[in-house]
Amino acid sequence: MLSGRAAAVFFHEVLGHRLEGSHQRGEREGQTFTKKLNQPVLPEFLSVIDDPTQHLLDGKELSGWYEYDDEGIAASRVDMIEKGVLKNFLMSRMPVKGFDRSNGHGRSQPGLMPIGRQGNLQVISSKKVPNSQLRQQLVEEIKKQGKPYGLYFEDIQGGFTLTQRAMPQAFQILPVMVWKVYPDGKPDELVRGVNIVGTPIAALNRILATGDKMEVFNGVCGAGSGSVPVSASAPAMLFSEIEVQKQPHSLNRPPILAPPGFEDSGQPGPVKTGGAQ
Amino acid sequence: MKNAVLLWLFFSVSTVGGAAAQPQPVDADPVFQAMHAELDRSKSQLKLENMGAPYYIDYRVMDLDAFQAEASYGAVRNSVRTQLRYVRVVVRVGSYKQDSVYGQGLGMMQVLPLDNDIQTLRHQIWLATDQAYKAATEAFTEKQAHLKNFTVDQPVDDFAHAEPVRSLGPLVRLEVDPKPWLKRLENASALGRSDLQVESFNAWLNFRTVNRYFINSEGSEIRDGQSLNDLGFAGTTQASDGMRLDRNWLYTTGGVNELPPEKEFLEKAAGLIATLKALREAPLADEDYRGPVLFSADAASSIFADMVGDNVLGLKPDLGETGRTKGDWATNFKTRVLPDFISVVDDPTMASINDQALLGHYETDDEGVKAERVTVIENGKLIHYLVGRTPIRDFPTSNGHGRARYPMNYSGPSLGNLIVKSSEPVAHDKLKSKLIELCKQRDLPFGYFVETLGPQYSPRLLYKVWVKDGHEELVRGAVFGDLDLRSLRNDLVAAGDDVNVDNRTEAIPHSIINPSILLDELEVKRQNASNGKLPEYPPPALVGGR
Repeated sequence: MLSGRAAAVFFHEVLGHRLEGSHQRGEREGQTFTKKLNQPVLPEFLSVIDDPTQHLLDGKELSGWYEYDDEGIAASRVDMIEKGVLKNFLMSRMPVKGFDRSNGHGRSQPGLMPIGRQGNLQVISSKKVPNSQLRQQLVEEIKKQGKPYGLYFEDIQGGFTLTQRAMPQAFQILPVMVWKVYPDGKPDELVRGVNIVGTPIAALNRILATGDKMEVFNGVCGAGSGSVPVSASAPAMLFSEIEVQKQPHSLNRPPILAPPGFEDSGQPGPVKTGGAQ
Repeated sequence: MKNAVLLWLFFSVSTVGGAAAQPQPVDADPVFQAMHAELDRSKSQLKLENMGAPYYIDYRVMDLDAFQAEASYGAVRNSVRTQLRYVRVVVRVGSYKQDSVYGQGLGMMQVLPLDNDIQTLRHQIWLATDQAYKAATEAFTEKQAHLKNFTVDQPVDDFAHAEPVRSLGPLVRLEVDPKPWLKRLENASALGRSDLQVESFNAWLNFRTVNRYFINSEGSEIRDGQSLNDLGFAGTTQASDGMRLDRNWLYTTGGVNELPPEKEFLEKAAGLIATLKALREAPLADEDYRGPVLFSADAASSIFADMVGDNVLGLKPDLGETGRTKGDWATNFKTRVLPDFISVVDDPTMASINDQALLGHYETDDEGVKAERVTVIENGKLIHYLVGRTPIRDFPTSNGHGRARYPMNYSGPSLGNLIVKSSEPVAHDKLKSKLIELCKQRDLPFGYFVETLGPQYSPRLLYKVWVKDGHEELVRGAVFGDLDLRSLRNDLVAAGDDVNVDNRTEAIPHSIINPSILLDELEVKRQNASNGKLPEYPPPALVGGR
């Protein structure tokens, strides 16, 4: 189960980047979805839009907001996926086959050439259950699959994806707070050192249901035309299956001496004395 | 942008830059307190199991405050104030004979808080010391393994012993009101509008103060401050055949009030624009020339800086290499490298020469050693190298030239005040007649006089000096064919009695002091470069545009 923020970044990486116009053109591009126009690419209960004209979502500011893009074209809402079916791409003034006009998504950081980029991505669900019920479904799914535990991704720091053919069409999401959820009612257990990985088409079709509350992830997205402010919004999502891998980490020793101010503690490392621990 | 920076600096009231602040007693100086607290416990406690404890630790804190601005064609393009404080920690394990300075064992750097909060200062120093020690133990093992691959005939110690030094000078503060300076940059760069064929004309400044704190485990304790100020302008134009022509001028001083008044600055800028026009209209240099060339003291300074300066540094060769130093004069110890009448000293203890302040002046180097005057070349013969605490063959101790390049590099031999002198100085105005005389002897119709050089010894102001009447004719598009160490040793026939001081701030403050020189043979040929086309249409009419 992914929290709304985690699911939002997941969609930004796994789907959003692959719907940017420039990635539909050229022999080096992966073109994951180029030929899937008018075909289902997501479960029917999901739609995906990108709307840079929207300032707020449920009172929360969206950082991918703008009125005109970096090629002087008015921003517009684009419905990329309607009820699971691919309908449109995020276009700059560089045409691709079947899409000969910009829809106001030509963006870049100052000084670079604009290309089609995301603004305010939103994943809209018609199969919503309250978040508490979604968690109950997670526990049932764990039991159904006979697994010892499931994972709940509470918060993430970001992610990345590869869209060129020379590399595998894979993505990685970098979580910071991950909990093991046990089917037997044992309290959740915080774990560390795990990343979500996978390939887009496989991952997108394992979504079983979503929560009922949209969550916003505001961030800065770096891609072909540099860094631009974006947002991604989504409800929490339950996946039947997601692949994870261990994070790299070093085995460096902690500092030899105690930190300044803790010299008298008799042992290396900070000694906690009251307050938040 | 500009307004934001001005607001930033509202507290500045004085126009005097680099003012000396009240000297603070050492015991009350929070930076020193933090450094000492961490040095003390690191000295006594820092040790990994089965690894040697450090035999030497030093901390160097550099406190930098800089104001940089640039204007182009009368408008400010950039104005930034930067404040940074770094610590560099060097931890050595092993012994003076053989230690851990190798690979990653050169020390660690951390950015320190600007606040004088002792606890947070100590925290960063603590982390840097820990990293530096761990890196040193790893480097020491790696170095010993690497050394097993070589046979070493004449081993040289890794680190020289040195007496502890205590030298506490005042700190300096950057106190500058940006407004009049930005205005001055605008006024100077606006002069570029007077000539529509000048394609760019910029004026800039870089004022900074650097306060330095140094302590080491041998008991040295040093604190001082230096103010460095660059103020300059640069312009480019294109001749009708498309050749690109550049000029620039830079004032470099130790105090803001030593910079020229605005009137003089603007006159200099206007003069430089006039030379751009003169260069544009000047004829091309001849395709071939081999004969005498006279270098002004200004033009000769970059030759001495690169050819002599770089090669008198006693840079220790890489592990396993047998040379004395890394420079071109590694094998020239006690041999003639310049004509007999030239001697060269490096004297960081000199604060000024002919009332002109020298930026290469310092009391103690960045390894805690007192600066010494060193005669490197005596009557043309190389007799000494500039060394820090990393010994080279036959030079086991430092002569106070171990300095760190900015911002926080590992220290190594560097120049201070490099002074080139002739024992047979020729009156400066006689050098031109000497040039003509040499040309006559060889039936040459003219010789060359270089007034100033650009990068890679490319002449920027080069004149033909005609034998028949002595008149000078500006030419453009020439390069030197074979200006190298050999021509400096064999073809340098006279030096003037003039003294040019070239104060330089990069990469480390130093000064080159030298006379004008006459080479009796040098190849001057036409540059082999492609010329871009002139702009397709004329520039926006700037004159009277405001």
